[in-house]
Amino acid sequence: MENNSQPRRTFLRYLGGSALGLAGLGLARSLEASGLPGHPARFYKKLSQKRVDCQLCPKRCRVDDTERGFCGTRENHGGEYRSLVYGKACAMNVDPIEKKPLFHFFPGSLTFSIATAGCNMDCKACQNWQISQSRPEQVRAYDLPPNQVVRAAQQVGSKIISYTYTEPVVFLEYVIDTARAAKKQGLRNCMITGGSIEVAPLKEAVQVLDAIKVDLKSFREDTYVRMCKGQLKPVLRTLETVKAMGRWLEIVYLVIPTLNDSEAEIRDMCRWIKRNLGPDVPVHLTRFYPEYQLKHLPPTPYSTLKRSHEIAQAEGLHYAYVGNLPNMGGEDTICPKCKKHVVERRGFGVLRNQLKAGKCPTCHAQIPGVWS
Amino acid sequence: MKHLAGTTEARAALAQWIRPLDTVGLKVNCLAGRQLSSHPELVEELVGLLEKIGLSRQQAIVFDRADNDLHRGGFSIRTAGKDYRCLGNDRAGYDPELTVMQSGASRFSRIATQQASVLINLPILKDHGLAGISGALKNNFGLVHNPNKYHLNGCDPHVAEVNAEPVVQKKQRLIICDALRIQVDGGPAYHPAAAETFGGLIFATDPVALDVIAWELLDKLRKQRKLPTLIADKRHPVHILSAAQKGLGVGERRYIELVSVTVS
Repeated sequence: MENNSQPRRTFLRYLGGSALGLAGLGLARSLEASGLPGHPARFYKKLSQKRVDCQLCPKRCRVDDTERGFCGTRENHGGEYRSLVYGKACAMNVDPIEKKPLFHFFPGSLTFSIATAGCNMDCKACQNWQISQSRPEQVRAYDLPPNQVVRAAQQVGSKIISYTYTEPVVFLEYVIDTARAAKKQGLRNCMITGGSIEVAPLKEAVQVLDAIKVDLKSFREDTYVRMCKGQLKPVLRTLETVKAMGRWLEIVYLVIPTLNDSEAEIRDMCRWIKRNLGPDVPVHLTRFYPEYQLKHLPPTPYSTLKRSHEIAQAEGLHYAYVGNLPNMGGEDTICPKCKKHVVERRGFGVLRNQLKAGKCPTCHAQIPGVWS
Repeated sequence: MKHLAGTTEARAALAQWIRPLDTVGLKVNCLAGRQLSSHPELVEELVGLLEKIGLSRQQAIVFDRADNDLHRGGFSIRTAGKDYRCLGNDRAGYDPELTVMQSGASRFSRIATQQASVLINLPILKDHGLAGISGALKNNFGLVHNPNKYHLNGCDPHVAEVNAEPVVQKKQRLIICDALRIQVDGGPAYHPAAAETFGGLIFATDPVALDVIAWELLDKLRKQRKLPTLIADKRHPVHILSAAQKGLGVGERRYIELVSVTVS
């Protein structure tokens, strides 16, 4: 999950200078949010005694009347499940697409990025825990219905909208409606997710998305439980589903010292990716910095990242990158056939893109991705 | 309360736990609306008693998770003035410092961490679909900003972990469980057909012991309605046992003395 350090002010600066202005873009009154009926949620089943079975994610929360599920963004009102975050953006920013990171999807583009409060996991390393681990009424949010998201993206000149920062799965109805509206206007849509979602809602979302980046937190089931209050298997299922549906897919693996950084685990993951998704899915091995519940751990050592990168390459992954460590040189796209550096990057910037219609300029090998 | 404190007067009892310079946080439970919330009349009586031991009404803060919850529970939101303050954590805010526990991390209510010097826990007694029972221990989920993260596995071990935090351990002096009306089944929401007018208050300084008694009482009422016990219904309130194992109170019924007093 990428860092969201300066969302609102930047956004307002963009909008402030535009013809759109701020009419109709009001601060959602967060104190009243819990009292509002919200927006009808989807992906649930009614049970007896006004309970509901949330079928959005593998947690499958059974939610009593007046209560919320694990994500805290959906509330049961007498057997009617309501989303409290639909149209309530708590973070907005214009980011380089490389920040997501998506390296094989319109490199060098800017993407209009939004988030609401909430997450269906609780990762100990979360960079955005102040919004992802809060309930909707605890964060300042803007009323920003789907059509206004699209207009705002157009106003700032972005052709891509990203659903990101927290966990788009918990605001999936908002994602789907916004992405649909964006598509009609010729915009692209990306979802940056932990991938913990049931198949039916995932498939519906993927229909309107163009690219998906999945944070794979670990390749061990017990680590998933311990580190994220999540499960590994459903995330692997998500990866396979997205791939099978033909949407552009990239994977991030945050390498955390002592928790998920063993050579065996990284090798197992790379083998699984190659076997089940193919060697062309980009895998970003990113550096951990102490955050949230893991402030006691050191940043990932350079040597660990280097070794992880070597393992990924040795296992046959064509596009293994090293992230959050700009000077290591692990951010360039290298043609697997002739080894030419076809896209050179530093940090979130593209220094040089030599691809010609998605092909290596030297050997003409096709580099997979969505380039134009 | 007199029996609990071993005194002959209620105010002498209260004076055992509260000092005149204290700011008293009264944590009510109003999530289920007016029919199944800590009664404002009980709070009023308690604040009156605090006055009698030398506190001003402004030294009491009645709070729950959200203004809206309090409003639905029959309380008026007050943030200033000569009467007791009454507000939700959503308005008062949460402590910026993150408290990292074994199985999660939370920000605690600023009322609990920064404003109140002592806490009085005023739960209600209700059946709970996930935890089995919501009583003294579970009510303190309302002190943290993210209780939704703590409902997995029957809320265990999260309830015990929240209650083991110093802010609760050092400040919670008294628990008065409002069992005037008990939700016997279908909780935590109010369902009139499964609610029982019991007309009781349960006083304790030990939240675990109180919950053991509350569990016993709930099961008794469930049996009277031909409902399965919580364990038979596969809703074993293991959080009470975890709290006992953590040393937060007495979990074995045989070591708990229950003194019943009928007030006419």
